[in-house]
Amino acid sequence: MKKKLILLLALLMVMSLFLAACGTDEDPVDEDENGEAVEGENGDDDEGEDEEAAHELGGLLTIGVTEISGNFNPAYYSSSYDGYVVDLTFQTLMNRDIDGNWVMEAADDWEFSEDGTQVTFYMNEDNYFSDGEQVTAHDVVWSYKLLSDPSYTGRYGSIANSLLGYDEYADGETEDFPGVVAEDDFTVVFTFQEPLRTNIVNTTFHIMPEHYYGEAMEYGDTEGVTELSAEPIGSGPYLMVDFAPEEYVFLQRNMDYMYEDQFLVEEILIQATEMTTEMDDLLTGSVDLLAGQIQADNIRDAEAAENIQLNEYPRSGYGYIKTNHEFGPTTEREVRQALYYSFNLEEFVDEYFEGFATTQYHPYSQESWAVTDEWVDSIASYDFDMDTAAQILDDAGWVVGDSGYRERDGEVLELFILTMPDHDILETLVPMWERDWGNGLNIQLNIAQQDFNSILDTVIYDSDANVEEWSMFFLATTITSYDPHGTVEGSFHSRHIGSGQNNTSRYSNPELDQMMDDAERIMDQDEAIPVYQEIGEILTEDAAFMPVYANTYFDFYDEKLVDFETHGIYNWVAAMRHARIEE
Amino acid sequence: MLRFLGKRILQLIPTMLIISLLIFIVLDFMPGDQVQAYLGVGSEVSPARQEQIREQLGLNEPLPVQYLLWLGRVARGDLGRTNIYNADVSDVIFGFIWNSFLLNIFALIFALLIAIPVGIKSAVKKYGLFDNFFTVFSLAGVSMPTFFFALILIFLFARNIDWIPLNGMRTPIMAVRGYESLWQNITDVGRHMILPVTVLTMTSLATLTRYTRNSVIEVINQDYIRTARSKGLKEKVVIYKHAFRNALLPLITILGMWVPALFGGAILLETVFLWPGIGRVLLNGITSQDLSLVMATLVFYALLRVIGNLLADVSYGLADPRVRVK
Repeated sequence: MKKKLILLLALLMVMSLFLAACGTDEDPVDEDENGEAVEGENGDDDEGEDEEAAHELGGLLTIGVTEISGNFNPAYYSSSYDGYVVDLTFQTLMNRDIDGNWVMEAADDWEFSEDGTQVTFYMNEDNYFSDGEQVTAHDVVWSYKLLSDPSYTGRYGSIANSLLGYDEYADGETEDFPGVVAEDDFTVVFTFQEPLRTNIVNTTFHIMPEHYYGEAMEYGDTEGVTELSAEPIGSGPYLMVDFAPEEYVFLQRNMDYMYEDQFLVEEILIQATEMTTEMDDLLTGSVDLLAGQIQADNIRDAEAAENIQLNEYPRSGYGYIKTNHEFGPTTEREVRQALYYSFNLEEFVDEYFEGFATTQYHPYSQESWAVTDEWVDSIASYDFDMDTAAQILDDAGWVVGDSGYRERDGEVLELFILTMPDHDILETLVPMWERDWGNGLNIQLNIAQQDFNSILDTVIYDSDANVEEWSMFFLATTITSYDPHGTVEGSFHSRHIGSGQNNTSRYSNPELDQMMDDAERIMDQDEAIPVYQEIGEILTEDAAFMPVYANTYFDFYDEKLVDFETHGIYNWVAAMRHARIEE
Repeated sequence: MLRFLGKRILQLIPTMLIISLLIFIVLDFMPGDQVQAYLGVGSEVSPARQEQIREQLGLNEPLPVQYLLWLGRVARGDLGRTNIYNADVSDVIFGFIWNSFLLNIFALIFALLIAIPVGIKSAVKKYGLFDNFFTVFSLAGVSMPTFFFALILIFLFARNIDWIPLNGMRTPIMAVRGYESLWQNITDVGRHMILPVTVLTMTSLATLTRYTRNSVIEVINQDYIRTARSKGLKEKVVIYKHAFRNALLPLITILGMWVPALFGGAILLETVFLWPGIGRVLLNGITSQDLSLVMATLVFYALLRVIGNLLADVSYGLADPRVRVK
């Protein structure tokens, strides 16, 4: 009888030899941001120098990333790592260059209508998908219809929702979608509900071939598109030629890509790395590029390595504290200002980031066109000053009472702070708050620990029911837009207060609401700059929230990669346009 | 025996129903919102549209209805779709379990090859130097956190020995370019298995050694062993022919439970070593709140455990007729 068992075990072992390999997955595309509306230019941008023409296609670049799930469908992917592959395999009508200017991609030219509600793109007629089919205006129209379909369950619907007729189309009332129309095979017209500067960025969703993805779809039934798991077919600079989930994605230059002199790295291997060992991968040459690094130890190791280059830039975004504007003492501006003055941001940045971070007092990305050096120097700042903080509270009537805490009319100045367990940054911040806010200013601090998702539940997903559960919380954000509008409108316009909405601090200022609404209609970027600066100043003076730090990001890369320029918004994928390998 | 087996298999059905219901309820209690997590924090998708998506995914139904719908789909072989992998959950699970199995089976074989002789020797020379050494060794093996041990090995070996890779299941560029031969493929995967298999072997070794040792000790105190010795048999024959065979019984029970577990992945180990196994998939599902994936994976883990228990019972019955259920 034991023999039977041994046989059974042996059989199982034999079965083990039939190893499974990779699954397939799908394709995909785009990402959502806000952008400016200016400067329609042609073709690629400024290179054009004689020596550039001499560069040849070649080389292999290996990039380490921490996740490869393999959803490469432009309309359905959710991981930013999958987004890299989507960006490299699909085209948009136009792109941004490193300075944030629009440059043409699948389109040759574009124009705004006089009333600002229409954008017309004239597409290149000599442009093909990787299966040989021509890229036409109908593919653009189809891609937007997918995003607007009543059955669409992806996350990019907001790209289409400002188009004319979106609501009726998305609600299943009509199959007509006047928002995007192909005037002829190579002319596509976007018509928006309102003339807004920010509309333009919503014309840059990835172009998906209708003949491939559309085959599996009809109005009201997009399930077939989600299930298309063959290789992505786009017209971008690269073809995905191999993929093993959680292991690697291998891309090769698409030889039919319309801009021959761009994207000159011939092969890109995106491979999984693990945070604890990724520096070893880099230093031993297993990977050539690690993007967006922030660890001080790693930065020093990379600086010390002979063959490693570093790109350094401030994060587009920040870690921030939001205060509750509907409940408790933080509804008072004076309390918020006092808290800000008594929050030693410099000390935190030095201690935690060892100097590899900056502080900022405005709500915008440091890459935004609304942010100029002169303006940053001129706005209010809350440099650490305990005396000023105490004075503000005294003046507001919050004085130390019998309880040992500050009180006013018998009410104790008490804060409910939501923090997360095992969070390095909060483990540095909380003792500082206890020292300066608690002991220094005699504020009663109630510090609660919740996991990340519970905090999101409390302050976003189910925020209406939890208004009185918190005074402040810490989170971080990354801003992918040069246009400052989305950053402030989403977070501070009163129309975004409520469960599931982004105005988590529940900040309401009718005057500012109006300013933001008006500002979005200013089509000229230069004209809009002072308006957004004023909006930023109001928010800062109001201490509407507290940006805490913007880390300094680093891209580490092997010296064989040249002409590789990045910043907080222009990531490594965008930088591949002009980068090349010099062995 | 067949009746016994049939009965036990029938018992699996209510057990799995209860387990799946519990998992379903617990996942529903998890903080966060599936749709919002998928759309991303700060997504500009309007609440009305979110509601539409919720409806499309059947998430607006009351929990019992959702569970029944899920059960109905599972009965038809449909485990749902995962957002992060944008694929059928069953394809994802089936695609990754073999990678986990590969690690586990080798670890089990190595563990058995080492644990059985060590366990026997420890039992025979109870409280001797050898036994004491392995007692301490086992304790350390059981107590040391997997990821810690894994990191130590990475720093000691992978960093200093070129041919031992830091992580992964194979060298991506070799896989992409195509292996020159099957042998090259096997050696490449084999090199990548050295460290994770070592960690897994060490952790299971401790338990197996103790089981073998205790089981042998129990047996060699039995009358029939004394009889065998008094017949003048050589000690080796007594131990390996008489004692060990009987001592195997409890070990078989353990192995019965272990066999299905071969298909389950170790989350931490697979994460540290970037091994593309089912454990990493589960972790990804949890962090992305991809509940169809998490639900199916957890139920799959539970099923492995339940089958493990069944196999243990059955194998014990096979090995020892006295315990066969009437």
